[in-house]
Amino acid sequence: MPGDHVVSGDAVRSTAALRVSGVSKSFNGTTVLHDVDLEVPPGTVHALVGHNGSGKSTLIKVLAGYHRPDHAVDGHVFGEVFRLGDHTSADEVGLRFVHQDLGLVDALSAVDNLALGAGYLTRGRTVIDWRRSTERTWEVIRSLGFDFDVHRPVGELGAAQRAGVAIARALQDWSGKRAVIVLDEPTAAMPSKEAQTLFRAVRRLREQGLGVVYVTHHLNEVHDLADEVTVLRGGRVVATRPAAELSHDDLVDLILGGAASTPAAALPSAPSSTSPVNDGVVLEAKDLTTVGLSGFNLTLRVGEVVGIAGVDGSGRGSVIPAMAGVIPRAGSLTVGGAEVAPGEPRHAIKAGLGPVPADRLRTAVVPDLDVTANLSIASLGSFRRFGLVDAQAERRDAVDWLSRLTVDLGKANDPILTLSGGNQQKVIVGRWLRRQPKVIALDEPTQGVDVGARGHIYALLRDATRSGSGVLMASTDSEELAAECDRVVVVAHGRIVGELAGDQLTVQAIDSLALSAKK
Amino acid sequence: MRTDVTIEEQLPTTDRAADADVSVVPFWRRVPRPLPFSRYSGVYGLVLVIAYFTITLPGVFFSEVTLTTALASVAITGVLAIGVMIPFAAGLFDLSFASVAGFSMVMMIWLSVQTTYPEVVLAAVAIAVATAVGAMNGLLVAYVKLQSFVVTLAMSSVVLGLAEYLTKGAQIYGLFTQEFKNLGRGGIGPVPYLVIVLAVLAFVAWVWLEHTPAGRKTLAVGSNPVASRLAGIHVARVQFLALVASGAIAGLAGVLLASQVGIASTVTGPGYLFPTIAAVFLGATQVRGRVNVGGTVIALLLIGAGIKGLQLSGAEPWVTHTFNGTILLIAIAAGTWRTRRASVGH
Repeated sequence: MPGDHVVSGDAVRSTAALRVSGVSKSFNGTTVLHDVDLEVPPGTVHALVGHNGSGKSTLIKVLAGYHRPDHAVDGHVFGEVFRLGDHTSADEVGLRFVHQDLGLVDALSAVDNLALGAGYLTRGRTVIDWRRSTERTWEVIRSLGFDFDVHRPVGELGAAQRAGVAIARALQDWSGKRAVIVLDEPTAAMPSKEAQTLFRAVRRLREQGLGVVYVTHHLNEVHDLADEVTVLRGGRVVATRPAAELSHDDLVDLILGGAASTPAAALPSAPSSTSPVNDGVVLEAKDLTTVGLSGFNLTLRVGEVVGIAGVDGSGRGSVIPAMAGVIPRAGSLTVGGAEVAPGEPRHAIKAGLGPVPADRLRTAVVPDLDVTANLSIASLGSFRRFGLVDAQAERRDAVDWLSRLTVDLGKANDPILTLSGGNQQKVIVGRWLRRQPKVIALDEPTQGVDVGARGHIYALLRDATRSGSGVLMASTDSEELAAECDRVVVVAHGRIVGELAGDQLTVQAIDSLALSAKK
Repeated sequence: MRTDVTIEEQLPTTDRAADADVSVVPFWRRVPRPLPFSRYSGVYGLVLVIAYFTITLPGVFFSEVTLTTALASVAITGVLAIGVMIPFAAGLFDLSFASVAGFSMVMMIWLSVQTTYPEVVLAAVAIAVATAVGAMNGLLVAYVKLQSFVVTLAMSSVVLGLAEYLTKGAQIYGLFTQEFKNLGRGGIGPVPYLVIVLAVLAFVAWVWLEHTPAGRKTLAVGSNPVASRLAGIHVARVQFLALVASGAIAGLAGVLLASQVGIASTVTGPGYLFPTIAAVFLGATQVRGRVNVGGTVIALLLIGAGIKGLQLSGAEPWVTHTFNGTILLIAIAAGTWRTRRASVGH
């Protein structure tokens, strides 16, 4: 253990639960954290907010010991010294983490999940003492204000209860009050009712005198929960203030850098008359409702590129899966005038939808098929001759499309996974473009795609709009949406909170709407 | 992208792409290089095995009679292997095929004793029943969404029991015409009928798997069912039909067995489980790095030649099982090693 353990009774009371100062971190010469200070008094919840790329997650990773800061810095947890960037050191002084994905084993119970961290209580040395293990788990769970069967597989628990198990696991061997817990976007994928349950648990932690660092995208949570808030922007702390002193709009200004002055209410929904489009409606969603999204309405016309913006957990990520039929939905969806039955993607595809999912590797590429077959898999019917796939026609078409997509023709018969991420994505986009879909619907169209390929994908999409398609793209990248879309629908808390087009369509306006919308 | 640069201005046009047609070479002109060892180790192994036994058993191994019997001995394994390859291609297990083939054989023989219908009718009934078992597997796996491994394992026991119900534990001697018996035992010149059946079936399966939309979709589902669903493929139907096909072909294998063996016994069918799976797994390491007809045929020939050679060398019967197992272990070890190397970059 590095450092001295200077702990006196007075020091505990007067010192901060967590104090770090002068944390800087750069990657390949790009500084992502500049001299960051953070101080959390005992018995408080400290919110940490900032936009994508603000340095928020890097700071958490430095605290957790995944990254080493540029200069060796010591941090203090209730006066005890730990070395930043050293996982063991942070853990030993009681700095604990619950990451966004929770890291639970769904098939195991809360008792088992806790034991995975701390080991089972045993009788003798080998036999698990289930009674004591259960009691221990139950005590921790109850101390957080939860009441559920600790023997049920955690996969069957509610979202808040699962978060509770993760918190319990992080704190189980820390019986004293002198611990700090960092919660990284715990409500990102949580319905609001569940979130309230989790808030109660967080408040209990505060009452017990712990320091809580609460990372979030949802600004209303800052007011619901936090005593103080630190705002990061461009890797610097731009404010640390009592949460009560900052209004919603103040926070948005701080996060975005002051330039975003227009509150949501002042932004009128841009009527599509301002968009340079025909009348041909290719997609119409009415009252679309699904996991984390309700009452979603959208009309897409031929020639339009429409964006869907929203932070993680806003419902943005559900829009295209719901339309494609990957997740269950209610409400009506028509593509090319035909009502699409929910439940199976092939219904939507038959009607003329081309879905490009966000998780390319898991849900788009077919690894055992070569590039050509990956390109043609959704349109095998067009190569059918005497019941067979006409190999010559298929190859000719592949060569044609690969050159349009600017993918190396020599790769036509190579496994798709030998292509770069950008080229894989181009092939997936090409898979649909070659069907001339009425609508091409992309989820995170350029995630993990290099800049060159990006520009090319945008050009391909724009070109498709000229030949009779409409384009829908859901993205967390506001710059992409502002630059490529004719209009952008912003989603927050499961609902559309505004629409931007024309001069109003700016990165700042998108972010400001996505963040400031209240429940 | 709001700039008005069109794709046409940036990129080669369709006409230019047509010039690149040189890369469109028909498959029959794309072979001539020496077979790469990594994908054709089975062919080299086969040559080695034949060379070894030709030298150690001069005049005995490399003869028309030996080659003919060696081929005939793996023909039914081959038919079963082609059948079970289909669900494997779709990413599913079928462990019931051997019992289904046994059941089909027992039913064929039992019917020949109980009824006087012509053998064509009996064969149709036996194959229909086997197909129905495959459909049951398909229903439970594709639509009820149960695990194929467990479903087909359970089904194999169910079917084994039904076969035993028909035989009542005894051996039944089939009452067949000479023509029907000839199917399993005779041939055209030196070529056994069974080998011809296998060749035809393998050709059809190859065309189906590699050159029809349905075969392509089956491979896609086996490779990534989630992505296949999102490409508009009716995944459940593909899975259902794969198991139906496997059942039907197992039924056909049962009819061939009835013709070859002529005696209904419940132990005959299940004995094919391992060698068949060994052939398919070994075949999947050959030619393409996934389940494919060519690889399966290479695997069959290798297993057939090896076992025949061992038998002629005076090896005891147990050697067959050990040989099969060893070959499979070597094959999957080599296959895994190859995949690992390929994933590093090639």
